[in-house]
Amino acid sequence: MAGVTFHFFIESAAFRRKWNRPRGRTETAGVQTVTPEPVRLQNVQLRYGDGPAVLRDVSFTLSAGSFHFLTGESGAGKTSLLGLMYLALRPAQGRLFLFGEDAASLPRRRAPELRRKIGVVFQDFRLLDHLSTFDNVALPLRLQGRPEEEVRRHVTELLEWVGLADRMQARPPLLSGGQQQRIAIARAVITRPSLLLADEPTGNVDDAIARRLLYLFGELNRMGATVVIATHNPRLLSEFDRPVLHLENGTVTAGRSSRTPSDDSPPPEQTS
Amino acid sequence: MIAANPHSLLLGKRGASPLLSWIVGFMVLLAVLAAAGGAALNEAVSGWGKGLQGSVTVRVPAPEDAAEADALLESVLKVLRQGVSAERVRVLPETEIQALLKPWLGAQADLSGLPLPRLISLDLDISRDAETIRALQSRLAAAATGAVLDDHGEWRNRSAGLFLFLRLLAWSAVGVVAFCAILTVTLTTRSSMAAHRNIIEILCLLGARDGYIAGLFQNRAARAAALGSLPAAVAGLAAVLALAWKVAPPDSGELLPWLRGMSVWAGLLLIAPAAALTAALTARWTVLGTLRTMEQN
Repeated sequence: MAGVTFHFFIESAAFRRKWNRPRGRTETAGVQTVTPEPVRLQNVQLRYGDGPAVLRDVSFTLSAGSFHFLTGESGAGKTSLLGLMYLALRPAQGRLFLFGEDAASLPRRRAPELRRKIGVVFQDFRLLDHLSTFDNVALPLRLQGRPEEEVRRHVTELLEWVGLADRMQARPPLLSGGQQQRIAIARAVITRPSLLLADEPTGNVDDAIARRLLYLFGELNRMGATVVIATHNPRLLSEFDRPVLHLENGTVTAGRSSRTPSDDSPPPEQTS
Repeated sequence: MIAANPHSLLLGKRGASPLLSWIVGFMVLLAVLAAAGGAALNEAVSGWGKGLQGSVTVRVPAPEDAAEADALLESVLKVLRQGVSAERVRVLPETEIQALLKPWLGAQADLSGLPLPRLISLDLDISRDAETIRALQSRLAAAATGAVLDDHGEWRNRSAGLFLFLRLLAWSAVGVVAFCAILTVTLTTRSSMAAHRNIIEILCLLGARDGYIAGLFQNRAARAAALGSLPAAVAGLAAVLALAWKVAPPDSGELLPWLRGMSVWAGLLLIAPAAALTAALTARWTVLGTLRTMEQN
């Protein structure tokens, strides 16, 4: 992956036009409207079947436009917590609110509407191997019924930004791990989600590329998206001063990734 | 090339169901044959029923003395003509009566010495002219001893029972075939869903609605069913035509005496699209039902 590609992606005027829309708080004619928090967990417990609790009594709120790292040892429950946030899992106890909607009482027919506000970069990418790079990235737009001409234009543009313009027709199994990761990221952001969840998005790339990816996520966050990145890479955490949700023994504690207090994201509000 | 139709791509070409095409094809072939049998039986029964219902026969015993026999016949005719107009009464000539017996006694049998009863055919509809028939029966009993008015009720009832049984068998076969086809599509769809579980999960997580996912399987099942059912229906119709040609009386001048109605052929032709539609709806309902239970497992 060439660094200049992501530089173009971030600095592109078209990209900024696409992303630079107000999120979270909006002001219209002097009236301020507060949109609901993208994520709010209240005393959430999660367990698989009859097994032990993976998460117990987890409570926190992510405000709109915030950026958080989610840390914890391998097996601490980071993927499970993200799974709750993208509605792949439901809490065994407690309450989970996404964009103000109670996930427990959310009718099944309304789940797709909510999921379309969420972009997810899965740890294992979860690309469709029988589809081309283009079709993988286009999938979320097509599911939303966007016109094919619009799909073609946006996907082509984004694949150029992530440096895969020459691999549009390649299928994921023929691409490297880093290239697959970029497809997964492109697929996650193509619909301009309000909430971006990334599970170890730097796990398959070297540190230099990992830093660039995090820089990308930071830029997306500055343009309004709420971002949560699960990682256990201590070097990345030390380089980016962001609020941290740390998972240990099934519970979450709040902190910061670096001791330098230079970040403008609010720390997660913990409730109990 | 960029795929214009995402539906064709989502499940991949390897996900196609040639087995489903073959199974639905055989089901449709069986359904066409059974339905053709049922329809032919329907037509035949309807024709025979109309023939039997539209006539009544009076059997007049034939005493050895010819004058006495003629007098008895006259008295019967007199009674009949009181209740029925003359043109609806026909005395069967002896040659016709003998012709009726030839299938049982053989063409060479000499029937001249046999005391054959005289037969009178009345052009009466047993349901419409029931009152007239009852009145004639009572008057005949009083005026002509031994004369019997036969409305073919006993034979008609026995035949009706047999034909109803055969028709039910034919339509039951169609029903069983349809049920098996639905069961096959259900099982195939469930198995296909299990094979594509990963894709379905990704689609759900990306915001696909249940209807969209059901549409993928529905279209695939409809295509597979159409691919199997259309040639099978053509083969079935060809088989029906060939069989009908084979069994048609050589001097009838008609290819299909019991399959003349256009509605019969239209019905047989509709079996193939009906199979495709049934497969599509079955697949859709199966997917929608399975998705409801799949997400949390």
